[in-house]
Amino acid sequence: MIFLAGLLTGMVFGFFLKRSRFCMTGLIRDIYFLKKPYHFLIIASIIATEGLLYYAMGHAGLILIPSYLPPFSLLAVALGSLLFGIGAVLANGCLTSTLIKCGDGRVIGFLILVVFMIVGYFMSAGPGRHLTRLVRTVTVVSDDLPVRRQPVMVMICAAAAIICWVAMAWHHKKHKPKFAIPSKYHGVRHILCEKIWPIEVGAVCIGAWLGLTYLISEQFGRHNSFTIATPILSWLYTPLHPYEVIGGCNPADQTLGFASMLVLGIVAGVFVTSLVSREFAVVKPAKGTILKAVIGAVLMGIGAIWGTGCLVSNGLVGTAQGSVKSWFALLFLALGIWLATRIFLMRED
Amino acid sequence: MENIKVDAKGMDCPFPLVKFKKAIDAAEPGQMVEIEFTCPDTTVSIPGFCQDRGIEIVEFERGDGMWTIVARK
Repeated sequence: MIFLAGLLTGMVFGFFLKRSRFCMTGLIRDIYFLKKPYHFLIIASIIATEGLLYYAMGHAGLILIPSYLPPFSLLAVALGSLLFGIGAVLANGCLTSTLIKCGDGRVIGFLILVVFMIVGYFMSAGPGRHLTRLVRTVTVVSDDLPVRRQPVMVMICAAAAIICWVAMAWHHKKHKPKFAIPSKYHGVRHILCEKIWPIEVGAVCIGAWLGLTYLISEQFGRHNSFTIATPILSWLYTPLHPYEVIGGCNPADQTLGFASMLVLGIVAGVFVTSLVSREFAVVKPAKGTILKAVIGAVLMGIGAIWGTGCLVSNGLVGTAQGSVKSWFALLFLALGIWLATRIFLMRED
Repeated sequence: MENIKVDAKGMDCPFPLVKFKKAIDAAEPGQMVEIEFTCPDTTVSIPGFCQDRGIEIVEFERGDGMWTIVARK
């Protein structure tokens, strides 16, 4: 049951990601690359929507709001997140985008995933863990904001979510896309199988689903929403039984379980969505893109372990939980993305 | 004027857009730029870019696992 629930929860998330063409790296990258500050609002709306559900369910007694978040190393999180951001640009998307690529048939996705798993395992459970441990002991600070557990957070998130929704509705009305993918179907089938949902709709659905995932997880004794890096690595940790594991986003996700199925579900959800929308195609990577993608995967492998999370677990989930570590990580993830955009994309542009 | 053809098959976002942008910048006014791509995200990014820059999309076709956009500068 736990495996099926995880798989289905991941599949729904994959469906939302695919239908809205959601890419967290792209959103942050294009704030700078295409000068689109509006994307700040999209990201804020996801965090606020998810935060509203998280705190409302927490204070209603439906889920557990942890009384304690572990301390973190400023150096490890800053350096790791910076590397992860650079890697995400080189790989043309973060770990979640990599799962999307695997699901819709892009071969490069599998290559990035394999390289990430090898490097992530090396840095967390292999010989590289000694360096990871060393980096994580420098400049350790507390991750405990007392306000995080106060009912006022429901009001703060509600106000933020309403402001974001109204602003997005106003912006969407003013900037309606004029072109759409040529369609074949009509009605509900068109909306569910073919139509590219406006990013605003995608953002609210993703935020709401990240929030509801706390409730689903809670039924199986897990107190979190989507995490990506550690659950991917759990597929190696479980059969290989390493002596110890250092780093990563959520220690509870190291064993094969609900979260492992969440990430598998994303691939499965994207696969099904791509099939029904007739978008599934095995696509070989273009020449010249492979080396960059491999370097990107290596940087994401180191970055996710040192930064204790990725663009989803820190950037969207931890931030909604009021984790100082995650907000700090999001800052450096964005700096890494913008730095790599400046060096690798704008030069080429 | 001949169409400028851009082959972005096998490339992931944002490279099809980068190549398209380069071709548009190099095109004469009124000249067509035709791009073929396989990255699903580009079905949103190129139309969005064209809308922002006031570039007319004259054709948007869907093939077997790929898309073609023809735009007039």
